[in-house]
Amino acid sequence: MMRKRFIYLTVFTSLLLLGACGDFLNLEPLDRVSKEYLLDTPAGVKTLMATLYNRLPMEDFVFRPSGGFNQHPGGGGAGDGGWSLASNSDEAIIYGPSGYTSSPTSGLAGHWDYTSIRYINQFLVDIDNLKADGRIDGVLHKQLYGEAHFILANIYYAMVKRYGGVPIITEPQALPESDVSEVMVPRSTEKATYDFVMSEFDLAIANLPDERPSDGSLRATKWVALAHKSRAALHAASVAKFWDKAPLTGQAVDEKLVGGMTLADANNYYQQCIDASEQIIANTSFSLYKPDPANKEEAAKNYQDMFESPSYQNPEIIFMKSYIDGSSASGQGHVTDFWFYPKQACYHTMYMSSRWGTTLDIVDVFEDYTDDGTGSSAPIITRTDNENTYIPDPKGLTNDQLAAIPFVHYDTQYEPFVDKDVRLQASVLLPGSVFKGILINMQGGLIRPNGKPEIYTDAEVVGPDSKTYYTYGSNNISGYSAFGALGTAQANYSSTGFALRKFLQDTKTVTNLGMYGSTQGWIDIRLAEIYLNYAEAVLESGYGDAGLAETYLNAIRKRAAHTDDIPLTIENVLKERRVELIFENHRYWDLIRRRDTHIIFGGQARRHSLVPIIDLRQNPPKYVFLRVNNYYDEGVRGFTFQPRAYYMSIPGVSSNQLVQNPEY
Amino acid sequence: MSGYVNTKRFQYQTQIDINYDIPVVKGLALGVTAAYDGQVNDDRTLYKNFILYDYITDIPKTTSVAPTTFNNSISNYIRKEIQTKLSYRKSFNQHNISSTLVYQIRRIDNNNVRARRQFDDLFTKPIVDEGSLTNQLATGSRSEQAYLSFLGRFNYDYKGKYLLEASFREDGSYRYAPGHKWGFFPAVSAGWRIGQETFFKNAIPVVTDMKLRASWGKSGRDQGSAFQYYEGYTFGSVSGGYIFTPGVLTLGMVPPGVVNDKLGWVNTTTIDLGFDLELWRGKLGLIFDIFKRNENGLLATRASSLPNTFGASFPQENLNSQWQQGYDLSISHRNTINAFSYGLTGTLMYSRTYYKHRERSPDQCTWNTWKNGNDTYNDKGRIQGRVFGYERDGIWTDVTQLETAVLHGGNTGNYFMLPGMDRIVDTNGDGVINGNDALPIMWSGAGTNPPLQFGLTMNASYKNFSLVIGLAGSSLFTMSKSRSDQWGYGTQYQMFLARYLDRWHTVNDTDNPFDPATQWVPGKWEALTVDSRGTTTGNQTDKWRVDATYLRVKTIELGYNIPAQYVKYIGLNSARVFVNGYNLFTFCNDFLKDMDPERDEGAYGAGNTYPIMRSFNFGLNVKF
Repeated sequence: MMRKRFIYLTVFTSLLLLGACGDFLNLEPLDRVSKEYLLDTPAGVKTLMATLYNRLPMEDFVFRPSGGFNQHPGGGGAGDGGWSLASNSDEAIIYGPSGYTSSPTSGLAGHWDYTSIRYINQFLVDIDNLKADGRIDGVLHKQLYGEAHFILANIYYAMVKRYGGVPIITEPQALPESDVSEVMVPRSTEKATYDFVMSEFDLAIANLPDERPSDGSLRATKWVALAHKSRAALHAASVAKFWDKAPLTGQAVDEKLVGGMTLADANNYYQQCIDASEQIIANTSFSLYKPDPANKEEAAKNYQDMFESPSYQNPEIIFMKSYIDGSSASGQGHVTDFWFYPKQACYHTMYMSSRWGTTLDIVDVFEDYTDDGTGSSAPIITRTDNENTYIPDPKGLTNDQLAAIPFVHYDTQYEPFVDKDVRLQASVLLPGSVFKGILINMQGGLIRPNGKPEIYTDAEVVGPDSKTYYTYGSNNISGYSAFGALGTAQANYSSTGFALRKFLQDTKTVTNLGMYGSTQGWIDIRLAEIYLNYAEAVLESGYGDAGLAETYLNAIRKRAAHTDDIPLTIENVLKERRVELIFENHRYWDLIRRRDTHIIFGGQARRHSLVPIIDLRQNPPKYVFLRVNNYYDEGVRGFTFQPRAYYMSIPGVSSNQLVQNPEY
Repeated sequence: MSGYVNTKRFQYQTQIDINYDIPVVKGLALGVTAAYDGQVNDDRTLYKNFILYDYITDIPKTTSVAPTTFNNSISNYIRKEIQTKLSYRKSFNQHNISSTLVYQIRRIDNNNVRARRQFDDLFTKPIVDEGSLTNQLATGSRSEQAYLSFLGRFNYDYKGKYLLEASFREDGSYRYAPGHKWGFFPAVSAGWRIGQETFFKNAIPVVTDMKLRASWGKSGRDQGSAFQYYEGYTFGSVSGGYIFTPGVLTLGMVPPGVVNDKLGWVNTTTIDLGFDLELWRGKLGLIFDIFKRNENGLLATRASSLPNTFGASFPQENLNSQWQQGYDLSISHRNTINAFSYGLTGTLMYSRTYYKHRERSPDQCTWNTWKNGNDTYNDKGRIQGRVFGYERDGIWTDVTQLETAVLHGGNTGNYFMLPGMDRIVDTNGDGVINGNDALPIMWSGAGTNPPLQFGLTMNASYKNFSLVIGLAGSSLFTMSKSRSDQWGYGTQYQMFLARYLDRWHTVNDTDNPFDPATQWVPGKWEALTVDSRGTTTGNQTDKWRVDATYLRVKTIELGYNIPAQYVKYIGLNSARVFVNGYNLFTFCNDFLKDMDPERDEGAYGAGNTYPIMRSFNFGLNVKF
């Protein structure tokens, strides 16, 4: 009996001891997944790619100029009136309750994203090791390699656009053993950085597939990389060519960390832009969306449709980004409809909305349909003598000054815009147009029968026809969409007389009271931009085929129902660029790369508004339009862009020992 | 509004002990203990929706604020432990040996699942399935831990007079990288019951026992986030994903930061010397210890910052160290007079913690080193709990004095200063009162561990009655009370206790306080201001940071053992009734009466910690 017990005990104990060997402590964390596992299946690869693509610096709906990329503030905090890179240029003015959400001199948030660069470098090392081990095959490796370099190229491009030359790091660094100076990398020159961007794009182009993956997912292909290269090369070339328009001095300039590129460099980049653009244009799977409209109405509808619900069925789109309803997946929708519906159509009462104001400056650039082969802009006619002077402060106008202005009288608010380029009415919400079945009213003032103006101030006047007229066209605060309560926190109206139409859901109903309910995709790059890049590169460098460039330029116009051909001049190309790519976050960078920002915004420049006013001095009353300085721009005495702001301040120079940009 | 939070906890502990005396070798025994413990939590929360009504018209809002939501969370914690023990005991010729070897494995598994659903229109029952599918939420996670230990102990004594003990631990934890998982912790101690020596007994008969002790030992803690050495990807947040197929969000996997395989055990080495003394057979007892404890390998990240081109930051490493030293004294008295016996024990402990190495970035000047660094205040190192404060030298009685006085820093100078406010000493003589004038003159409680802690326990029994009184207290530290006793949102909504009404104030309410001609009535406190910007109010002086020495009557318990003859009638072996009270009185500075000096200072220094509660219990102990 005792022996039995002894045997049992020994057996029991040995079993226990056997069960607990050295491996007992080698647990693996349950909340982590190894990279081998992830790279074994396509779904796992997608999750890795999701993190990488998330870091693609795309200036889209959720790009906040003062905050950075992928801005999804939680809770009720998207809140300052909405934001767009358009308001850093002369395209739009968005004045929230606490001021400009961004302005021409407020600058951008930095993008010093070496964390992502480290991830991607580590990722490249990992996939190389796995390929050497035979865990992944050559085809998958090639695609991942291409995608990784595509994203690296874009990150470095986003940095060099902002900072000039930056440190180029191509391998993940190991922790320093003794001294942190072991891991310090100095800035490369601006030219070397742009060259690196181009070479990264080339690697991507060589390795990315021609077609998207069979599961239809929106991943990069060779054409996307080519398109981005075309854009980046044009940017590099312009900076090289026009750098001397705004020269800077300092150590960074001496070491060519900013500037220091020659005309030969510029032409080299122009040639790269031309080559990349030609390859894309030669690919017949890309073509303009509905290039031959039957008439103007159809052209307007086509253009608006393209942005209201973009999808890859549209052969013009080369790369786009998708969104889902953010109320269930926090951080994945966007707020364009929530913030930018005009007040009359605004479906909620959030107090910071409807403040988008498209400037008069960009509206004036659009052509009309005289189509005489010159392609000249047709500014809005407000005076019979065609002298377009701007009143700084319309509130201070006296009766005599007003009487001296030879206004053109119009029957409706829409009349001045009747024969304008259809892209105007499809992109900008014009006074007197119809949006969601509502007639948009942008009235900002009235002229009493005795000649006294009431502009921007509430007034109720009986007109010569015995009807009652109000300053804003209605005494209901939701009955008008512009100029109300200017300067107060209740100014949920456009301050320019124009609002936004591009991107907004006119035909669909958006009712999401929670923010981030907008899900229309963002078109990152499309064929029209490639045409324009090509045309500009051809003109500035002299390379390429000027005849083809002229055809492409006019193809864009034909899609907008123009019937003439205009000559290939730099003014025409730049004008077409502004008109075609309005609000797509290009204008800010176009001004920067061509060094025009300090010229447009020099000497305290104001942007302008157009105020529709009902003139009660005659019967029946008619509308007149007054060109004024924008109320808010006038209030801050305009903007002066300092040349040093072409480059941003390098962050963390005290610890990374890098050379700071000039004048910081 | 209604709803509830319902928590259920079910704890179980099982243990099997098998002991076997090995027959062949006398004194050798094998034991196996296996334990399987666990806890199951079942938490349910119900938020009921409510309707808002217009205040005047009583019309209800048609949409309620939030739908009724039901939340159910279940978690399961299981700990399995197996211990095998081999022990040997032998005595011969008045030498006694005993030794033990233990091998122990432990594994902890924890998992939880949570479900939440809302009820859109009709709330039926708080059952997850009955909720609607809108906004439903399901979460769940699991974790595991594993530990392995080898322990051994060897005891030797001769005649009960000379004692020696040596022991070791070899502990392994799952937390660290291979190669760093194990820690070795030996200890040794020796004692000499000098009171049993014949020469001693004869020489000093008053001393009934005396023992000298010395010990040295190492122990360890495993700390730090686990698996820092593991190169695995973690799940990113929803905002870190990307939409590859329209309408479908792919969550991203995030790569690890810098992989860190250097993390290891935190070591503590303790040295202790002491003696026990007993006089007059217990009428006076004395225990005294002096100790020093070194802690090495505390967690910190390297302070020299990596350049922002590196793309990651330094991981946690075992870098910091500190030590503690102090003494421990206990004096006791026991006596019995006929049926009355009583005892008193007083204890006192004094210790200080010194920082030896604290990782920080290099100082730019020696003044910074003195203010922020380790090697300061004295040659031993920086003492934990030192607080910088200001010295005061009376108060201002007149605004005209402030016109020529030292400026109270900030960009408003003396503009906002009023009579009754402290005159703070300009210790560095630069004419401005600001942070540079602060000196390390005060002690904080250093996280509820004040340097001096003392206590007194008294017990008495007479026939079947027993009484226990326990007191505890601390000293040599200060606590800070902020001027706004109730922290409001922003600086304009402060509320004051009535005690501050005894203050310097102008004769008429409407007088301009800044006018030199205004008459003032003196008071105990300074003139009140809406906020303390630009004034010295609230600066850390001994007015606002006071000595927090306290003595608290922690326990009083009176019990009565019901005499055995009565108890046996009911079939019980024994029964005892008692009444007790906990935390009955606290003696401390009046200023801190509404705070609890035994605990941390409370949020924002405003004593926002929930006050300690006095409790009274009465009860009955029975034994069958």
